[in-house]
Amino acid sequence: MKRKEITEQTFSIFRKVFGDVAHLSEQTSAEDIDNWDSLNHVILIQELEKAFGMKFDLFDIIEIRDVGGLVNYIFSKNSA
Amino acid sequence: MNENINNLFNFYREVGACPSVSLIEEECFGAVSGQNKDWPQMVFGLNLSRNPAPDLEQILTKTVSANLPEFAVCDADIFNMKTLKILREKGIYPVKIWTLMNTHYSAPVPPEQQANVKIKKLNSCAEIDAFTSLVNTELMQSVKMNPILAKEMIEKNAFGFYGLFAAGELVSGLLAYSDMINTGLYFIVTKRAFRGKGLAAELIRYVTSLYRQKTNKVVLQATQKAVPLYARLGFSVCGKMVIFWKR
Repeated sequence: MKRKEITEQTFSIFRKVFGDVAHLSEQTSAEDIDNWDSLNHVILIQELEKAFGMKFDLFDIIEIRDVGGLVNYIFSKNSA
Repeated sequence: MNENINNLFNFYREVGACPSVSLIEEECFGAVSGQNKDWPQMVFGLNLSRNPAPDLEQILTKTVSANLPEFAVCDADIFNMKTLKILREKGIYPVKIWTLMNTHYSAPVPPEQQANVKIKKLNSCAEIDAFTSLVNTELMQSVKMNPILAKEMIEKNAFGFYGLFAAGELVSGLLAYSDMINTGLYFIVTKRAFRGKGLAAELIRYVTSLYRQKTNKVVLQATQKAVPLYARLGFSVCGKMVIFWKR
């Protein structure tokens, strides 16, 4: 899957989990989204896993709290 | 037991001894919970076997059904991919990882404080209110610290709230807890607009030098992002802890 496709699908998942996020970009981090807390991060991970048909290493991904980091992680897993 | 973990568990016990907090200690775990779902909300001191997944599931099922906390803090080293997979199937997820760090008292004497900055121990109600407001705005997410609990804590010698003021405004703070063996630093926080200026580092150096005569080590639990900051202050990594949540 191309990185651009992964990015667009990730944005779509973000909007599903957090609602209409203003200025969503790869630089968006947990500091920019009010309800992006630890618990919603678990829900986000579940939705990403469902969307990409993958299971992530939870110890790796729970600390990634920016959109670009998540895209990079998914891209690396997808390419492996 | 890791000294860092020991300090954390003693910290929860000491907070649990405050009037507005409920503390339960059973053979296999402890649970501490503030009023109205305020901080703290944690199951700790878990006695897990070599097969931790069913033990953890049993404990969290018990605490959740008894309206006790749904979060549990454990040593991360005892969990592998297989146990995480089993826990996930039971609706139990890791939500946070803390890197455990400690430093011996070989840290150098802190440099002169920056101009227009004042560091002091917080004592007044107004200062404690400012600290809890700072923590709840900048640090806490779903669970908040109640200022009533913070005021109960300052009555105990084991706790010390410290703040750094810039132009009279509290912009950085932390809570030190001494269990007479080591000192733990908790709730290290700096207001967003004041980050990147070395203020938290200055505050940590000040508090570390204060406690150097009283206890053996200073310990803390860091997010991954903060590890380099603490490493520059002389802290070394000594383990990891994970917080699980039963969904």
